[in-house]
Amino acid sequence: MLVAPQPLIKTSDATAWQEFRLNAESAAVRAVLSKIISADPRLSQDPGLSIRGEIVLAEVLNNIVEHAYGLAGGQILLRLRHGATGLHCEVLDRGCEMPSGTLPCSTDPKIGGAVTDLAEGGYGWNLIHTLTQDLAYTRHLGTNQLSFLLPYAEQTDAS
Amino acid sequence: MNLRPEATPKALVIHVEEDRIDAMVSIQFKEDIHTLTENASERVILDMAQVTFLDSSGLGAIVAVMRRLAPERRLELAGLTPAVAKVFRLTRMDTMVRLHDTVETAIALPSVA
Repeated sequence: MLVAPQPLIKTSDATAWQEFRLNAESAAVRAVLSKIISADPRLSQDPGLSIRGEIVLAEVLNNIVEHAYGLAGGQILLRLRHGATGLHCEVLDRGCEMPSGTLPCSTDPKIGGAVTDLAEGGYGWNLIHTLTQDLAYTRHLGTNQLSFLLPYAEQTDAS
Repeated sequence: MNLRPEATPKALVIHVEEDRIDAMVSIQFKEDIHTLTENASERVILDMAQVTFLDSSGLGAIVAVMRRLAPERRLELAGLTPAVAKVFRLTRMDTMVRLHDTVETAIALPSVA
């Protein structure tokens, strides 16, 4: 039996990719978020970071459930790796391409007028753009890949 | 959806007895609140103290309730937990709805149009 050789330079756990696979269903999204936060020491010990991470990952994953796959369903692969300044995240799916093939921009729904003029949607991408850095989308051979950095330090909101 | 309405002299209080208002439950949440507030008085206070997480679909459901009650009636929120408060702050929705620390402080305050 072949045994894979140990790498000469031992990679510390802090720099290894963690992978999570889930079905594109809202219940599976709930379950994986809870698993990620409870299993990751850095997230579970930093309430601010875990809140930002949970918001971003919930928005990204539920977008795939609702828009990329819809009723057809499918699989999502989520990869996380701790870096020097934040948590690197990659999310892959084989659902529909993003509209117009590019990342939705940070549409800022109009706030400040009458309550009856408020939009009931469009807040999700805003949250993703606000809480992440280096947000990038590519599609290759039928696979959507979204990558971004979740900074350890609070970016835009002092509290 | 576990929602417990409580009629008080000054407002209809709805205690949201759910941990998460997210994509899994937001449509049901919106419909159930609509049903509970159909004949509501001027003020409706949502007690959010038990809700530890709300995503953009949950926020959209709350906006839908605000729109449905306006302009004669008004939705107010009490007891936002840190993650829920964060979503309201980041989207600036905290400027569009009256927020209270607790249901008790909300009820003690006079209604301001």
